[in-house]
Amino acid sequence: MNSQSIKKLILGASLAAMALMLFATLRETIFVEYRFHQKRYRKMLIELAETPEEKEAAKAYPIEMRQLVLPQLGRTDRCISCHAGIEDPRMVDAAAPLVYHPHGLLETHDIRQMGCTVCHDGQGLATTKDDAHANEIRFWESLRLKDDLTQANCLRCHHVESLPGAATLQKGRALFAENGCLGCHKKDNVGGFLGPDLTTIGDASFHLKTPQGKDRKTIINEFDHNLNLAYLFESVKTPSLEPGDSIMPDNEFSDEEAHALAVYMKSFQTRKVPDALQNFDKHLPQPTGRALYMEFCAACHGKKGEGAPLPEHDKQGPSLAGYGFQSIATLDFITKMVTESGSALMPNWGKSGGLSPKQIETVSQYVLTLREPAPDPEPDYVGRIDYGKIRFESRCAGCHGIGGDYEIDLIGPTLSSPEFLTFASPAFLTRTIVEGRADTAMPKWDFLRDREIKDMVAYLARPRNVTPSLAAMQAAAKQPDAAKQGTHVFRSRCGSCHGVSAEGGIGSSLNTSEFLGLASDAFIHKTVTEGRRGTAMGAWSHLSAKELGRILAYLRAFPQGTVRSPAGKAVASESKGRINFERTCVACHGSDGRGLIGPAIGNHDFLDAVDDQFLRETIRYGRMGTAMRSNLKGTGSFASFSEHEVEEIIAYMRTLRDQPFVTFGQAVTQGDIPLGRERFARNCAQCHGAFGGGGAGPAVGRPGFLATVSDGFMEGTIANGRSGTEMRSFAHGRGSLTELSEHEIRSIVSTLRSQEDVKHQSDKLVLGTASRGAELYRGQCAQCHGTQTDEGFAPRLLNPKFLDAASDSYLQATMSLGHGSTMRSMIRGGSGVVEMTGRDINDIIQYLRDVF
Amino acid sequence: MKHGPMRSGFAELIANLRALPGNVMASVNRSSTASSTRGRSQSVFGNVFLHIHSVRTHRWTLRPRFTMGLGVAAGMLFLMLVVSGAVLMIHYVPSVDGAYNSVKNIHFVVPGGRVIRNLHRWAAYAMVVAVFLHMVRVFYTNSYKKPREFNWVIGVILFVLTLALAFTGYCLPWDQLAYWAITIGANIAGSPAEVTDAIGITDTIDIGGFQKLLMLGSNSVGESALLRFYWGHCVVLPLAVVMFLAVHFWRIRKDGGLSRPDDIRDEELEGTPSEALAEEVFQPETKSYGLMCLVKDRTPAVNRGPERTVLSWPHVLRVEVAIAMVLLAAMLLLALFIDAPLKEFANPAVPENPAKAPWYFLAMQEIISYSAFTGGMVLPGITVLMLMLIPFLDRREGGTGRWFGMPGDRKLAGVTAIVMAVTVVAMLTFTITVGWLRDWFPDTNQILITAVNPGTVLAGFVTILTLGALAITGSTRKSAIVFFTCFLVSFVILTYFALIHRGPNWDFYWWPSMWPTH
Repeated sequence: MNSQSIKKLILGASLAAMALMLFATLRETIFVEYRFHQKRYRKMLIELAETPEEKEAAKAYPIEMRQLVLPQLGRTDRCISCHAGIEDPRMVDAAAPLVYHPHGLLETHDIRQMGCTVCHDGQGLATTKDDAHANEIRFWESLRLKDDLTQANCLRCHHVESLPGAATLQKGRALFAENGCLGCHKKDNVGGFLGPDLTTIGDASFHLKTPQGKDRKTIINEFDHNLNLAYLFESVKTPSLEPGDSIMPDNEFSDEEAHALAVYMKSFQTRKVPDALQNFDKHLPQPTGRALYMEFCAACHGKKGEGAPLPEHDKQGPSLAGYGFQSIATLDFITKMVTESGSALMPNWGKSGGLSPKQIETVSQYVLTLREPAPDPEPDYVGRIDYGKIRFESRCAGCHGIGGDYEIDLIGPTLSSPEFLTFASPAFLTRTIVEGRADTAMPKWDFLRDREIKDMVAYLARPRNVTPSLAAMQAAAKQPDAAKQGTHVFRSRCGSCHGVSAEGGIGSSLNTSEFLGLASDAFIHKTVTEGRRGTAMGAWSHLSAKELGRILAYLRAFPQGTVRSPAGKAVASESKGRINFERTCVACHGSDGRGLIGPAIGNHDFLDAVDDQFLRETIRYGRMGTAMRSNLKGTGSFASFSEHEVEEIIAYMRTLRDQPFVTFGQAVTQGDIPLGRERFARNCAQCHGAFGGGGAGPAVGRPGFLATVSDGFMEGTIANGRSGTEMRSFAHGRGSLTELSEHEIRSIVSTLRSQEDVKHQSDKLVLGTASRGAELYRGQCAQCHGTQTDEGFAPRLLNPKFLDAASDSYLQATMSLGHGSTMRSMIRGGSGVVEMTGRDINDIIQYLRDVF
Repeated sequence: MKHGPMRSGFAELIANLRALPGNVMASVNRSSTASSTRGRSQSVFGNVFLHIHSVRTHRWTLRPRFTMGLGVAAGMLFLMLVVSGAVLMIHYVPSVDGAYNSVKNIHFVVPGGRVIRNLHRWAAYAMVVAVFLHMVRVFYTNSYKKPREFNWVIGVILFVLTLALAFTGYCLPWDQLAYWAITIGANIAGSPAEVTDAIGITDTIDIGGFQKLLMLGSNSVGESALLRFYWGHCVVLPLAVVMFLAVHFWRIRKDGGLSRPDDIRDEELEGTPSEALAEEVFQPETKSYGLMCLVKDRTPAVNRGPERTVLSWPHVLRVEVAIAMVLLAAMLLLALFIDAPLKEFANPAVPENPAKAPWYFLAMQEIISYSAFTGGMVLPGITVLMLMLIPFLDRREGGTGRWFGMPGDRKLAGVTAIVMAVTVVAMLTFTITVGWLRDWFPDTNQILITAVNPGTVLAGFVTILTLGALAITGSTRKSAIVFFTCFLVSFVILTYFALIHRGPNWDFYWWPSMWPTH
């Protein structure tokens, strides 16, 4: 290369360099995009000017780079360099970029405070359209949003609830909440863990998250080249695309729905706006239980609690609506499981899941309302004993034994003992079946058809033998030694409550002349054979005519009083009677005569058995040997009623006949709680568990039991025991090892009713053989529930949190009853597939308890 | 004089003013305007910048095919980088909050900022290429031989400094590229922990942790790391480069100019500038020795005639200016039409996938993907050390100044290149299709992987080839050619491979468009 060519090269290169620099200079000073727009705007301003001054001002409109410096936001937006007319209402019809901001939004959004990019995204610092909108520039993160896509950024300052006009957002939010997205995904530290955290999914830049499908170009164009939105759209529309092993279920959203969801989810971003500029409504209502359920639970448990498959995990989200769960789950169990399930799949909502205790309570309560509706009542149906027997044997015999007979190792109590049946009125049985007994393995059977329940009740309450008629009773009473034999019968059958000499005890005194004078044979017959509901007086219909006759003869052997008051129906004002009744009688007989220390007289059992004369006589002259004193003016000690006032009271009492029985679960007994506690601990706790928490015998101290029984039921059972079971009679004079006085029995009942010690009860009531249970578990349960090391198809049982929340009775009931469609009934006579006895079940529970 | 002192004073002032430009130039140049040969010579050695050159330059040096102007190009690019960098420094804010936006401001509102930033970026890339090719040129022309050994060492140091400058600059915009590049760098610095962890002494001697802390100034990538990179990029590294460049240039002169063969034939010099004096030989007695005669050592050009030399001014300067202007035009062209990359603002929560290092480190990253310590510290360390040692291990004379100066050199380099290329490709194919230790035995001890991985296997292969060549040819020069060619080929192939065929999770892809772009 000679000097000349080198010189030419230098010249050429230098000229080229200079030309390039000139080009750069021109590009930067003359051919600047915003200069053209601003010049056009100036021209329009001049045209719009009406006065010469305005025209001068318009002409002086400077052409320059314009920017909004927003120190609060840490942004600088140069958008107004091109969008020069954005604040000028006169530009309403101008073409972009000079057009006035649509929808008048700048009236509420101060552009000098907020700038542009906080709502629209894009590169505020850029000064050319391509760079600022950035939709085709692959470098920068923040692409300008247009049309309804912009709504995503509204949530930087507003709650979605306070933006009813933002249709796309509203729709997206609704879809997001209704499809249980947060069951798997987290947002702002609230949500599950199976899916990726979505808190900042709207921040994700395009080259990290892009659509993968064949039609991705279409989607990308659809979203104005915003790959982030396109990605969100695709991931909700076709979750299987990215990543390939995604376990996210396909919710089969339409394009429109996926679009709305994408826009809503685009708002999941790190905070970009300082408090001062935010406009969040601080007084939003707390989400309802349903809202919480749909948002956090529905994805796995189904929108109606029907359960849902969890793909890839070969698992099923357990159903919550089915009777297998609803019949036995308590609020406490649900709350505990929701708070901390300890499961590998279910988040610990109260811990890492981010729900507040209040929210957990709300949603747990909602879960209990998911219960499938109970079948319609069939009022015309009359229960059939033969059907009932079959139903009992398929539904109940697993726990209660065939025929309800006693057997060792049964989970449920014996139902066939006469002492039980004396109390077990059809109403009591129906109620216990329908409502179950909380805290025990007795579920709520309200999912059964009305006829099934009626059949069962008919079967259980069937007459075991033909109740002797009044005539037969009277005939037997006339036998020669009836009265003498009656002494023994009375002592063994009635003495535990009414006293060995009928002087009274838990039951009223029967040996008074006042009573005997009034009580007709029919009254005695009716009361003995039908009992008095809600009291310790059961229906002794199983007594033979001979026994009844002897009892009658025994009673008639006492001096029979004379009746002093006139016979005849009372005719007087009920309302006046009510005043005196409530002023005087309720002190002993309880409000509405439901019974307190005095007998329950406000029910048709009693009122049907007595005539007005009986009442009149009793009210006027009282009953010797009891607390019932005479009340007639001149003789009265409590009150002094006129004869007419007594008539009024009787008239009022007759109105009480039809009031419903609500004696279950009500405390009517007043005893000495410390005494009762001591007596219970000494006599009852061995079987019924400390403080009645349950053990070999039923958990009599639990609310579930107490709610279904009356005080009389408990008193009577303590007094009489239950033949054929371990429960013996404790009443005075029955020759038991332990004899409790009337007061002691009442005190025990009061102690249990008081529920003062309920917190000391242990949840663990089952005693079994763990080693045997381990074998049974391996054989019957491990296949689905897995072992300590392996996950199974079904929820993991060897999970300390689950075992902590689930009581023994919950486990018993689930094994007996089954759960949903996959968990079969495991008890004999249940599904017929696995025939475990109560003992087997208890052993398994013991094993589970011993693992941890 | 005849008008009195006052008048004569004014006349003198006016005369001085008239002569001002000439006198200023003369004072600057230490001589009058250079119109004569002597004047030109004096201009060169009277001017600190021009005196970087010797007064006369051998015509061999001016053969374009010999140097290809690579050294000059690298120097000129450095000059461009210093100037454009100084402009950028005014606008750049070295803080985590300010850096990114200041770069955007440079792009959009700083007058000329966009072009200057782009030019700075492309010139930096070009400089890395130029320095690398310059090294290749010097090696294959056998120019590191005595007395130029030390200048080769300086050159290797300058190569490393160039990479360091490029890397620190890459990190300054504090975008995703920068953040994750620093993160990778920090992990490499911390990689000795791989070994100390495996033998369980990290708690006692945490070399990796210390290096990482030294690099980041903190336990995580943040403000202090950015400040350190800024400080390195703008102060320490440029100063170091300037100092080493000064030594580098000075040594060129002291070592007798660029290397050249002893047996230059006239026809080989055809096409290079010539002048009448070039062939003239001075008589020894016409030379003055000056201070030089007092010291006993080789002296520059003393006692020798022009010997086919031409005046550096204008011949060398003209070429240098031509290279500079062509480069400037090329860089401007790039800068005007291709914007330098700037990704999103650094986001520690969202790792780039793949998080690739700047392209000149990709060869290193490829072997780092097997073991950070081996790939990031041991092998690069050994390679740089070996490069520096080449002139001391191979001292065989001959062939200096010519591309592949000794018979068989070219063929050997070619064969080695082919063998090495096949080996590297085979090695990569093997690891991609069959995997490596960790894929077969998941519990493999990390020490074993640190010691035995594709990087060390390649290094072992290079060692065998190098020593084998030494044994077969009996020539250290031939052995050096094998070593250098292996380095060159594997560097290029690995760089290409990691640039094009590595995708997310450092998995193999035929083309970046096939990335799943997760």
